[in-house]
Amino acid sequence: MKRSTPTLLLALLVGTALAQASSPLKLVLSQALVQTTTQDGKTVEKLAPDPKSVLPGAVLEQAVTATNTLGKVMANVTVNLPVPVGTVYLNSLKSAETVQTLFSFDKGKTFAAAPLKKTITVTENGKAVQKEVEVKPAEYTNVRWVLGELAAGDSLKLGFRVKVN
Amino acid sequence: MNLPPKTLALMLALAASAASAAGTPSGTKISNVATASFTDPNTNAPISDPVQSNLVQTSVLPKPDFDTVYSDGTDGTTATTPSAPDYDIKNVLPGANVDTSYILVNLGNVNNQPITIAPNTTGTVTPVPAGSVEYYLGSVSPANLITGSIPVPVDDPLTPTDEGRVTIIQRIKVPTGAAAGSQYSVSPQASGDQWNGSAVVPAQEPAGDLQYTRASVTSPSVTVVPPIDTVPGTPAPEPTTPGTTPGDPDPANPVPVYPDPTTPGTTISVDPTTGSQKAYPKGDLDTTSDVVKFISAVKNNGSLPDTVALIPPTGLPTGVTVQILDGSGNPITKDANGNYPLGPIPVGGSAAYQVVVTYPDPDGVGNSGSPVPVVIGVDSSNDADLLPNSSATFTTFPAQQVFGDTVNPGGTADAGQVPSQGVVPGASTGTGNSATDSSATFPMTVQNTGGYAEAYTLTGSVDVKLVNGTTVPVPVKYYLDANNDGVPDSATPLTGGLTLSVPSGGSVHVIAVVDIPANAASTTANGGSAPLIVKQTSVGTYSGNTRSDNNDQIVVGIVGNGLSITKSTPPAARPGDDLPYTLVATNNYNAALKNFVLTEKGGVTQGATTTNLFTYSTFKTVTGTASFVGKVLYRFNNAAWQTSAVPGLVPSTINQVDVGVDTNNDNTIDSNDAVPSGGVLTVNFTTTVK
Repeated sequence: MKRSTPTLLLALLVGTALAQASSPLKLVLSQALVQTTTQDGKTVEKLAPDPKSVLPGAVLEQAVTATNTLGKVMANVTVNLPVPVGTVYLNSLKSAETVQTLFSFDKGKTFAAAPLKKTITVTENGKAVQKEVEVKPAEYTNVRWVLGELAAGDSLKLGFRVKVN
Repeated sequence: MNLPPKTLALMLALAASAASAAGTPSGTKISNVATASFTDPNTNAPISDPVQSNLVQTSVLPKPDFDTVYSDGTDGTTATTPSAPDYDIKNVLPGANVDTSYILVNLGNVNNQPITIAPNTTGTVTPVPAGSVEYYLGSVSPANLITGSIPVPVDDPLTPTDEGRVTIIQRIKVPTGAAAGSQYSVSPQASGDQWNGSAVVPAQEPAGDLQYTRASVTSPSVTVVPPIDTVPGTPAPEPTTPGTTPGDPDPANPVPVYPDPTTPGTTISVDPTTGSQKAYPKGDLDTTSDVVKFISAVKNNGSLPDTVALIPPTGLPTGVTVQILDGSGNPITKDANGNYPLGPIPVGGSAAYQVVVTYPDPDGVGNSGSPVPVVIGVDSSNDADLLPNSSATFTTFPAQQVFGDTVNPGGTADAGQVPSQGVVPGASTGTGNSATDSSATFPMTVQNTGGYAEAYTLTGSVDVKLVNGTTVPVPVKYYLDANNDGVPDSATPLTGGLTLSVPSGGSVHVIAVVDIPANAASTTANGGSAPLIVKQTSVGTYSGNTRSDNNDQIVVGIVGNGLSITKSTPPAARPGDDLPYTLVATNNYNAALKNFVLTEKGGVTQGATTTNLFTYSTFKTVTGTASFVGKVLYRFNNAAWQTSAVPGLVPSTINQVDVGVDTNNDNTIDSNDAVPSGGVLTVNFTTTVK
C-alpha cells in the first residue's frame, strides 16, 4: 500500500496537542485488540490494549471518551471517529440512550441514521434502472455520535469495533 | 492456497471492492484520531476548530500466502486429468515446445513476496527428462527465463484491479526422440513463506493443489492401400476392378486387379488389407530385362498432416533394380537418409506413388523364373525414428517352363536328350514303347518353373517321307501320363494337346505318340541314316511362353518282301524256233535298291537244276522298260554298258546279258543308280533254240 502518512500525522499530532491543551472537551482515544478464546466450552473475550501490530483479520476496538471539563453544561456536543483505512466497520459500542449515532459512507460528507440508503443503477430487461438499496455497515467510512448536552464533569465513552483487512 | 477454487474466485472478485482479499499490506500503519465539536458557551456558536483526540496507531503484520493456478483461476488436477483442452495438448511432434500459461497469485499481504517455481512430474506416464522444463516470466524470451525466485506484488486494496498476480509460462521441451504416444505431464509447484495460523513458515503447494499440463506425442498411422487411380494421366480416377489371376485357387471369389499401365498384358492383383501386390507378366520373345510398374498409395490415418518417407528395398537379387516415382510417374529426389519423401498427406487423405521393378528376363541364359519380391517401407515423419511404420511387398511372378524329354528318376524335362525310336511301317499302331509297331512314342515333361500356375498347349509334327517320294506331315498325339510310368493313363489323347493347369514348381508328364504311315520310306536303307525329326512345342496358355524340343528321332526300318523277279515260261520250241520270255523285277522294299542289275546267264543253280540258257540257245533280242525315271542300259558279256540293246558281239558268243537302269544319266550302272521302292524293270528276252 502506498501511503505517505507520516508527515500528515505529525502535523495532526501537533495540532492535536494544541487543541487538547486549550479545549474544555477532552477526547481520549484508545485502541485494543479483541482476542477471542474458548474456555470451558464458552467463548471468552479479552481486550489487549494498544497493540503495536496486528494480523490481517484482527478485530480492533476503538473507543473515545469525551469529558466535559468546562465547569458547566456543554451544548451540541458531537464526536466523530472515522473508520480507519485498512479496516471495515463491524459494530458500535453500546452508548447512552440520549446519544444518537449517525453514519456516513461518503467519507464524512453526509451523515444519517441507520439504515442508510443509496441509489444504484442496475440493468433490468436491457434497460438502465435506478434502484434504492441499503448501505451495508461494511461500507461505512465514518461514525458520528450526537450527544446533545454534556453535563459539567460528565464523561461518555463511545466507540466501535473494526476488522483489519 | 488450500482454498477451494470457488472461494478463490469469489475472493478475487471481492478484490474489486474496498475489501482486500489478501488483507491490508503488511507494514501498513492503521491510524485513527477522534474529533468533536460543541457550542462555545462564550460565543454561543460552534467552536471554530474541532477538538482532536490522541492518535492511536498499529502496524499490520505479514500474513503471507500464495497459489499457482491455471489462467482461468482453477487448479487441483492430476497428471492424467489436466484441465482440458487448453492444458491437455494432443498430437505434439517430437522435439516440439509445449507452452502453457499460469498465474502466480499472492494470496497474502506481503508485497513482492518471493515465490520459487519448480516442475512437479508426479504421475507422468512418460518420464520427463531433467532439464526439459523451463519457466518464463510473462512471455517466452531468453531475457524472461526464470532462474531464481519471483517477487509477486501484493494486491492494493484501494484499486479495483488485483495487483497480486504474475503470469508465468511453463515450457515443456518434448525430447526429439520421444516415442509415439508418449505423455509428459508437468505442473508448476510454488514454494514460499506461508502463515500457517500461528506463524510464518516455508511451504510448498501440496500435491492436491497442483495444475498439470499434459503433452501427448502424436501417434502417427500410415498404411499402404490399393491404388486410387490405376491409369495415371487420364482425367477420371480408375480404381481396381474385381478379377482373377493365373492359377487363382478360388476364381469364384474375385480379387482387386488392374493391368500394368505400361504393359497391359500384365495383370496385377492387390491385397486390400495390406496393400501388397502381385504381378503376373506374360512371356516375351526377347531376352532383355523385363519391367513391371506397380501403382500404389499411402493413406494417413493419423491426426496430423504427414510427409512420409518411402524406404527403398535392400538385398535385391542380381539384375533387379527398383525405381520409386511419385503419383504422376516423376522421379522423387531422395532425402538425406536415402529415402523418398511423399507428401504432406492431409489427415485422412492419401498420396499415390509408383514402384518400377526391372528384373532379368527368364528367357535369358542363367536367369531363373523365381518370384521377385520387393519390400517398400513407409516411415512417418511425425515420429522420432526412421523405422517404417508400415510396408508393402510388390512381387513379380515371371513365367518360366522347361520342356523336353522326360528324364528319370526325377521326372524332369531335358530337350537336350536325343532319343531314337524305331518303327515298322505297316505294323499296327500302339502307344507303348515297342520298336516293332508303327508308332514312335516319346515320354515328355513340362516343368512349370515360373511363379504362377498355368496350363500348356502341346503340339508336334513329323515330316514323313513316303515310298512314293512325297513328304507328309504327321501330327503328334499327346497322352497324359500322370504317374510317369511311361504308359498313357487313358486311350484318349489330350484334346488340342491342352494339359491341365500345372502349379508353380510342378510338372506334367505326357507320352508323345507319332503313328508312322504304312507307306513310309525306310530311313536306314543303303547304309544311310536319315531319321525323321520330331518337332514339338509347349506354349503356356496365360504367359504365351514357348519352349521347343526339336531333336527326337524316329527310325523307319526296312520293310517289304524284297526284290521279286518273275519269269514267264516260254512255249516249247524246236531247234531254230525263238524262245521269247519276259522277266519282271519289282522292288518291294520301302527303300531304293542300288546297283541293281538284272542278269540273264547260264550256270545259275537253283535246287538241283543249273541253268543252261546260252548252251542250248542263242541270244537274239533284249528290251528293257523301267517303270521309273531312268535310262535302260545293256551290257553283254561284262563289256561296257551301252544304251543300245543291240550287242556289238556275235550273238552266238553272248553268254551273259545284263540290264540295268541308269537313273543318274552317267551311262553306267553303279551304286548311284537306284531302283525306287515299288519300281519295276520289265525285260523281254528272245533267244533262238540251237
